Amino acid sequence: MKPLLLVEDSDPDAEALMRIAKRLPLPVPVVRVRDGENALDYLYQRGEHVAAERPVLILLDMHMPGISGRDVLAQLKADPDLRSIPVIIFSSSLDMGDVNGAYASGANSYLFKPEVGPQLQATAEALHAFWFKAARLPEAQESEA
Amino acid sequence: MSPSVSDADLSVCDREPIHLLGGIQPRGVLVAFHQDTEAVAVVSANAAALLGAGPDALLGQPLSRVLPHGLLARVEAGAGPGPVTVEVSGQRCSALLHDSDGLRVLELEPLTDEDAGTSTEETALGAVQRLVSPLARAKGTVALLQHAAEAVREVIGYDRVMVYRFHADFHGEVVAESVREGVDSFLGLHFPASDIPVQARALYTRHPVRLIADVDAKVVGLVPPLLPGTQRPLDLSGAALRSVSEIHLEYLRNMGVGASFSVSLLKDGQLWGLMACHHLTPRKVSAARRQACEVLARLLSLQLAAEERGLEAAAQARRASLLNVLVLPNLGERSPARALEAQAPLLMELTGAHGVALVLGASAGPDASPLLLGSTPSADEVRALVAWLAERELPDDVLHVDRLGDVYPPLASRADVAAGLLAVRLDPAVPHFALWFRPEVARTVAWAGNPNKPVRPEPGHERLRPRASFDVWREETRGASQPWSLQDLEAARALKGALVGVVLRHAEELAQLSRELARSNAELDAFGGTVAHDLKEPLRGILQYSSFLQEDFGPTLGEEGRAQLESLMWLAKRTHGLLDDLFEYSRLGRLELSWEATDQQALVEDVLTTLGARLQEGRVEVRLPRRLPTVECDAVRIRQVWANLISNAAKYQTAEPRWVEVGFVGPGETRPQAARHISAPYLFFVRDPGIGIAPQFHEAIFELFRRLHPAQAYGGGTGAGLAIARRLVSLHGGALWVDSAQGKGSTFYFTLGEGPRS
Repeated sequence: MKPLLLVEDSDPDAEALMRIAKRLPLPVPVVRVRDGENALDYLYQRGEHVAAERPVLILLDMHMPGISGRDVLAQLKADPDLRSIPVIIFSSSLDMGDVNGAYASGANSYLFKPEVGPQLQATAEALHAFWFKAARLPEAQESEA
Repeated sequence: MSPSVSDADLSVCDREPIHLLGGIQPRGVLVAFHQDTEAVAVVSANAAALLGAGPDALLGQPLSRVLPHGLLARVEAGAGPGPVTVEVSGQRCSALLHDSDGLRVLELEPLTDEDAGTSTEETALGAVQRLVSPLARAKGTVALLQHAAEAVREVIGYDRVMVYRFHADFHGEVVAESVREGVDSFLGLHFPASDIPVQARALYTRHPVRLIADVDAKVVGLVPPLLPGTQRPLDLSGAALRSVSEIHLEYLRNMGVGASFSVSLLKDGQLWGLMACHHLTPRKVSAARRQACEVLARLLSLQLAAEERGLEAAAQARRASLLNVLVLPNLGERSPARALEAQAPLLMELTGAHGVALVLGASAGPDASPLLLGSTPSADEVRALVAWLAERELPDDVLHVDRLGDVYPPLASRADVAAGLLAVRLDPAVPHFALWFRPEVARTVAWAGNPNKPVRPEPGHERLRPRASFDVWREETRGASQPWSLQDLEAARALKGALVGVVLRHAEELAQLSRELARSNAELDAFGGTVAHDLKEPLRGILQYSSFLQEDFGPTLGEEGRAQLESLMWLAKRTHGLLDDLFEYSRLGRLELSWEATDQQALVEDVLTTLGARLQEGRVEVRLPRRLPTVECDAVRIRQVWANLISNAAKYQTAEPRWVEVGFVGPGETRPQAARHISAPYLFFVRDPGIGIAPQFHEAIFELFRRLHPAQAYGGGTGAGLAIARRLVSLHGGALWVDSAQGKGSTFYFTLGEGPRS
């Protein structure tokens, strides 16, 4: 089952999203990695992520220590094999520079990480409604093993 | 009948060997002899009168046969070069001894009865006493010179004693004078340098005293006229009896002078001036009196040197203090140009100029008016001069001329104000200058004397008169200013240095400010970035886990537990909000406003729609007495200002009825007292009848996070709203302030600028 890849360094935010995903429920499992390096390892099936499944959707935090979300995004979108995976930026930054930069690097949408509580719930629901109900996700290019 | 002197003779004055004229004045006898054999080598033609034998009989004789026994020994034992009184052929004489051309030269001058009878020491001492009295010292140079002139006249009894002072170009000026009643005054007379030629000045430096006891006296020749060894006359430089140039005698005769006596005034070994004394009839001055005058002159010179050093030190101190005033550190609000303009009178004093033009800052440029002070050329002339100066290479950035017309013909006709120019370039990059002007020197000098009446009119030598001298000097100095002294140049350079310091300091301050701004901006940026993430993240975490707790264990927590959890979340949210505000505030400085004509009415209505629920909840009535105008601003930002002011006004009210009035004062309308100083066309306000703000907090409320009330009171703002609003307004070039009193409601006023500030 192809998962949703959640790249998020904040434990409480990741946990909150997992909880929401469980409640919705999301049609796909959520796999979480906590930084950019692990995200790339996962996508390229390296290191401890050798057996990683190709995700159908990536939820990517921008501000992370080390390799930032922006670096991960740029690398993905420059890769002909990976660029078709939709990437949703999930960030606490309202800075228009960050927003424009993300789209310029090929982000498929940019979501502001809302306040904790009902707004977060609402955002997660909207995300679910759009990407898993309204939109069609790209088929995986490779056949499943 | 003396030979007449032509102008051509005057021009060769400079080359006349005045120390080798080969004659002495008839008031004494000269005997020169060999040091070793004491054989007489040269003797004056009048020797017989005193020595009882003519030159032919005396030459080659040992001195012991010529002079009374022991006379030479007594003279030799005399202290220093001073005269010794001796008896020769029954006459009391003063004897002077000096060396010249390898010979010993003895000069004998018979004493007058006046001198023979009394001690000159007392007279001399009295004069010296007078000169060095504290009274004389206390009154400055002019008074000192006046005292000296009077003291000398007392010693020698002449009709006129003048103190000449040489200027840098060696032209002379009579700066002090003591005259007998009824004698012409020469005070203020200037005469050209050629009146006292180079070699005369050199001689006066080496031998400070000269006496011509009778201008009509026949010169007495020397025997032999030429020295066998050198084939020229005996060098009489050091001889008191030396005869003088016929030209000089002519000059004196033309002035109606019968006797002349002068003493050099030396300062630091340089000829500073002369004490020049005239008697209308022939008059001798004994060697002792001459010496007394010489002592006086030396004392005077010492005094003058001290005096001048004192003056220089005082001037230096004055200049330093001027510079200090000019470069006061209070330049926070003022550009160097403005600071200088304020000190223009001091600038003139700095170099002793009659006019100053400042071309810098706002007064520079082809269309700007230079700042002119005192006597200067016109603004157009100054601008043209600056354009010319800007093209020139100025060594050390300074140009000084005392004949500006010669180098810059356009101002040749303006010698009345600008014969002299001292220009300092203040900035290598732009043509900024400080210019000092001086008028033609002759214009600044008036001489009231009239020694023009020809005393002995003789055709062909009208030139040899003081008036002619004065006219020659005036002609020579036509178009020339008083030369700029070293001190003037130093002062100008110091000013430049100080100015450059000021400009640099000003630039330095600006640079410092912008560095600090850049640093604080960078810090704010970094802070902003941090705020956006690292600081907010733990708060999000607290909120998240609190909400997990609520979700998962809410029912089992109990009333108190749930309340504590609520408080925890409120605090976290509030801190989160503070950080958001701070982040927003930090970004304001780098905000690019997008100016457009904005209907303020629409803006306020939009704000009221957003705030609607809150206003209703608080039962606050909004009053909009008249439609607001359309003005240029950044709509998004000013909407934020309105929102902040209106929500504050609604918030800080307790008593009913609650209302908020939104209005404006337009162009030409009467302004309220609190806004009378405002010149902006539109003045907007938000008024409420609420709790008000005590005057001591009228500025504090605009500080970031400055709160006057507990955080939970009045809807719990973070205290950033007004700081942000003020910053937004000032970004627009406007101002935001409050007029309020405790319990009397508040009115917040703001203005907007005229458009984007470049």
